[in-house]
Amino acid sequence: MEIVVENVSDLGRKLTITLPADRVGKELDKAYNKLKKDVRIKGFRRGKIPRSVLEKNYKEQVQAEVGDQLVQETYFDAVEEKGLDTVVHPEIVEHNFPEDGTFSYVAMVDVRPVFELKQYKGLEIEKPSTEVTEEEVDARIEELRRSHAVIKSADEDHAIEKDDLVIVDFQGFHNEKPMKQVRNTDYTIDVGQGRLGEEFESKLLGLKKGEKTIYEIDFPADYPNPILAGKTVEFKVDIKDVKVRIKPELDDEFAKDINPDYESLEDLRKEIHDELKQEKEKTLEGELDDRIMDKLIELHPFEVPERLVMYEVQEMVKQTEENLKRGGMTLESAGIKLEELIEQNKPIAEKRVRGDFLLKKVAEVEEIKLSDEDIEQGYQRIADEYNMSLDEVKSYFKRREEILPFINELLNEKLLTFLRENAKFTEVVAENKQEEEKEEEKEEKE
Amino acid sequence: MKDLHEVIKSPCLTEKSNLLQELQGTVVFKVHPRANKIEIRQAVEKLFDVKVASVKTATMRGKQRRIGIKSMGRTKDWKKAYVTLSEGEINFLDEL
Repeated sequence: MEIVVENVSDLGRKLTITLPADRVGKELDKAYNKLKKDVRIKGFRRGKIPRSVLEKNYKEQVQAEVGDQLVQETYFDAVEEKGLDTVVHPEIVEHNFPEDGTFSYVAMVDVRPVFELKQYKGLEIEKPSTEVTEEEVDARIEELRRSHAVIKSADEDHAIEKDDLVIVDFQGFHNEKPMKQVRNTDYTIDVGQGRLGEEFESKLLGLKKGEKTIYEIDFPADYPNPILAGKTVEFKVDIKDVKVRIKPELDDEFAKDINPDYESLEDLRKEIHDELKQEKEKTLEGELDDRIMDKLIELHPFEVPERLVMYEVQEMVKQTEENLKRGGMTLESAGIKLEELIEQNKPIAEKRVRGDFLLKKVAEVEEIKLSDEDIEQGYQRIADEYNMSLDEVKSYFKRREEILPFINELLNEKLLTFLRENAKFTEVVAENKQEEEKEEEKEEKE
Repeated sequence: MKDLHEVIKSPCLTEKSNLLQELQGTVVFKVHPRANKIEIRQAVEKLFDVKVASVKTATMRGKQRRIGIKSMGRTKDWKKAYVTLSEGEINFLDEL
């Protein structure tokens, strides 16, 4: 086996592997003999077809098959022999059987980037405050009041105001022509929610039940709905009914309504406060992980394998496609261009790849490994999340090839926890952003 | 003169023909039943750009085939030509 390694880029390697004739010949013989038994050609008895005839008819097929097989058999040996630390499946760009009976193929691979871990302990991370302000609690209570409001038909001469429910028929006209897609009957508008656009709703304010109105709205060119974007549409609106929301009074009674355990409004406020705090902390956790990763990545600039990034991008594109499919759409119908999507996802993919390398390196240095216990816990968590039994989860992972990514994820989580425990957090309020930047500049200068 | 392809109808690819070709460079064709050896020689030389050493022919009787339940039919008789080449060779995969 002859192996020629060429460096294409920093991490890209081009392997040209040539296999000797005797080995190739053996494999080809095997393939033809096998083929002989199954193939039927007119004029020949089954199994008595001479090799020359088989070669004439099936050469390409057999060569492709044997080629693939040989690649699989020899590629890893070749990689090992040359001591390459590859990260992706190779891209076999060509394989051919020259006349002399040898077989050669070219594999393009990326090798694992070599880098030193600089700093990963005691990373200085700003930690946004999780304090819950009174305003946030107020907003939450207001929401509760809305959802607990009693809806009543309004008086005849009630003028529409915010938070009313208005039932309308409407029809849009563009250039005096009715628009088929822009019409609805008995449509309920929740005034103030802005579901039909704030402009549309604001025109309703002050009107009364039974009134008809006509108004024009200019939609900006970047309006999300392509039917309306950039058009001036005239709406004929027929107000059929108006309902008012009667919000409950903000008192102890209201608190009890929401949960009989609450004694007073204070209890409710406290509960909401805690809830918000918990939510914030939860999002903060993810946020902190992101920040840790960002910091790590920032500290360790190194080349990442192109092919791995592209692979990640492809996975992401696939994911997007699948999500769209579930909604009954394709990339085209959603107006997404494949190239743009790839461009968009590329930086994210690169970050992920880089982060993964870093985490793995940390694992290596710190000798962090997943114990059976960790995996067990991971199963348990998934079981809880999806309401499955532990055995079901396990059998799922046994059946599919899913176990590897899952293990990977668990390990990453464990590593992040480790990093988080070892990071230095500084509490900051949002305004301190500018100072941060200054500090960064200083670091760079040093 | 008849069209060359009317004389030479198709190669006869069988175990026997394959063996002959490999052993002594004889190629076997299905030819027009009324074509004679001279015509066959000329046609082969022209079509494949080779030199022919000898032509032997054989008339193959059609096989009996049953039509319906009782009556018997026959497939057509056909002529086979063994053409031994003295110069050049014919590779059927490339030519036809």
